[in-house]
Amino acid sequence: MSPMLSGARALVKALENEGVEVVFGIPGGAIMPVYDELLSSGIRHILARHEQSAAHMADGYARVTGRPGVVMATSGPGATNLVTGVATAYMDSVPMVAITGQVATSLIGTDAFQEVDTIGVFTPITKYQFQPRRPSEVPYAVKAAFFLASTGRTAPVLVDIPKDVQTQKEEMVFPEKVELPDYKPEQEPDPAQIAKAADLILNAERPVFLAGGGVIKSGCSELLVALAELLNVPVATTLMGKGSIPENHPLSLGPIGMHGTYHANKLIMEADLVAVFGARFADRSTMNAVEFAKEKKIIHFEPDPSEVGKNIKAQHYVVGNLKRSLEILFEVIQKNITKKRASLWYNRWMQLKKEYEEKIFGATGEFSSPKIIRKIREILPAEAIVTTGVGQHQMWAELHYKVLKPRTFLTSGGLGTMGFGFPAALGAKIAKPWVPVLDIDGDGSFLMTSDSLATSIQENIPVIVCVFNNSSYGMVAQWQRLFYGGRYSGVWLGPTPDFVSLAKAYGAEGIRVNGMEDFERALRGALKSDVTTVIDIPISPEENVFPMVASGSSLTEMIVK
Amino acid sequence: MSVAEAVAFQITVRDNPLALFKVAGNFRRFNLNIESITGSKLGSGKGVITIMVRASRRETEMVEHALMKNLDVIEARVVRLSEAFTRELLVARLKPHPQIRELIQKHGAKIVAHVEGAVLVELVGEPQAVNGFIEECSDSLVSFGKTGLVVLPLT
Repeated sequence: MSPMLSGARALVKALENEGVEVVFGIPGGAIMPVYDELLSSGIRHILARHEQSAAHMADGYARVTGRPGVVMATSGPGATNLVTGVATAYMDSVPMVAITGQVATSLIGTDAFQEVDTIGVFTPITKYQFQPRRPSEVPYAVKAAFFLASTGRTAPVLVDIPKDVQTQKEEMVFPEKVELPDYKPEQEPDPAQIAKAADLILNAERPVFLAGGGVIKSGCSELLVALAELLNVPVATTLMGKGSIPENHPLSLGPIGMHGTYHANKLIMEADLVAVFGARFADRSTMNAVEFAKEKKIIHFEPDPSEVGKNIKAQHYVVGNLKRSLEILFEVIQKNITKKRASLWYNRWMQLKKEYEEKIFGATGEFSSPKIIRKIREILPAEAIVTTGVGQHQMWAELHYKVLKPRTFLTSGGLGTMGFGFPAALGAKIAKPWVPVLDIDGDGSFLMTSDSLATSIQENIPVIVCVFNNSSYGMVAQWQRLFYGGRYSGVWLGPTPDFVSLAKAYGAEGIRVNGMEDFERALRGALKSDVTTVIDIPISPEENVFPMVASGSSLTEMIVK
Repeated sequence: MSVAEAVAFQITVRDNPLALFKVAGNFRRFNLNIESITGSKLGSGKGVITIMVRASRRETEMVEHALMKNLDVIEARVVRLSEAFTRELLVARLKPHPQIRELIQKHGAKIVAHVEGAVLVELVGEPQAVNGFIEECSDSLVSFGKTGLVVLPLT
């Protein structure tokens, strides 16, 4: 006979069955039975101070481990506070299971206290939604949620559980697997399509590979690098694809895009063929899509059929499991390759790189943001994890922080969520406590979730936060400077707070630095610290992120100074 | 910008309470007004929804992409009305009128009942035919209901 369990007990047991070790969240009235059951479980609960932060923590955990992060909140405002965090994960295809309490089934639709149509709110930002109406439906909902979150295009899935469903008992059956008819998460690529792609690549004169986040999620970075080495083809990435190839590799171009590297943007536009792996041609990467696609052949290797032809029409598509596609492509090319790429293309690239390093980067000041970020890279070990907030600092990190391993650079690329960096860093540290975790943040961005300092101290999760402090919303100010005639509106944050005092108020370390030596000393000290350290780095509010491509322009039209 | 044309989406969905909400959301996102919608169960946990909108080619493509991402959508097919067999059902209550029988006959409608000084008629036809009948009977039209479009691609 199946055991009689409450819905809450069944939920926790189902989480245990999925191998969940940690959940991030905040309790409340409609999810108290679940929190009560957590006390009897080995699952660690990390108490956030805002549900958005809890979701970013689960997100950071998921990006590092590749497994779904689990976040919990109560009904109503608990659920709505999750929205930004869940949407952030959705836009970046991060596996997550969001569990929300709901008012009792008899109260749904009555505008009861803390009732909101959570399913309605989350439908556009989750891959699927479950609302078990009986306790016995809970195990299936949880099993299916994890299955959907972690297969195909990974994404958040919602499980919304009414309170009476949590408290009532029923006989429970815990399915070992779920089957959703007509759900085909993975498609086997067509070898004929791959053979044609191989032919196009082998016959190109000026090819470039473009790697997106899909390469990292599919675990095929090494394959991609091997293929690039076999052909001697340079590899650019999208922002989400940073880490697909070690950025100190001789074939790494760095990222393309609005704030891509000078040589990556130029070279990809001069290419006669771009082979794109696991990227969706986001507007921030390709900029003017018509210009991007001009005078070149594009091959799109894409696991998600819904992305095929959505933003850019390629000449050729290979749809299916990315790792499998790359394996077959490698075999075909290895069999048919006759000679490596001529050096002319390589020379052009080196010329562009030299141009950038000497004329553009070389002109920046000694204690400028780009140089601070390069110093961070110099000091951190290869396996260290860096997260970012959103703003100028994020783009400096995109440009100057060389990512050496997959899943070690976490940033909100799709939604561009300010406040992502710090809680995501805490989630990353929970996932890999033995690895240094550093959040490159801005003053505006860090303030949006700095309440997570309390979590970091209470739960003993030491990370480092580098606050690039220009007392303003720097990226908006930069746009106002460049495109609105210097008319600053709503960007000045003033001298508050004192980040050193703020950190200390929570029991963390706080240090303000002036100059590179000072910074280096502070960072090396922070790496040895047992508590979170906030390093306040005053920078000029006039500093711009360059290169920059204005909206609607071609990647070649870079503003460089 | 391309011109909007009438297109029908024939969408096979998982038969559950969220399916229609999600499908409608896929059209709302592109600010497309649903001009006609029909739905029915197909059995085996599936249902079919037919939606007609006026959309440009680009909008049609974008909706297709959005529908492909919707896990409650099993299959979505865009049907250009010029390449499909289309039918709509009208049921109407008409006041007695000297020419009413003539009109009913002209449009191929059928009287299905006589109730309290009115006749109930049904008409199955292409949308233009149904709308033409409504227009011509407007003086005697008390109330009516339409099913919306049912579509079967010619090929």
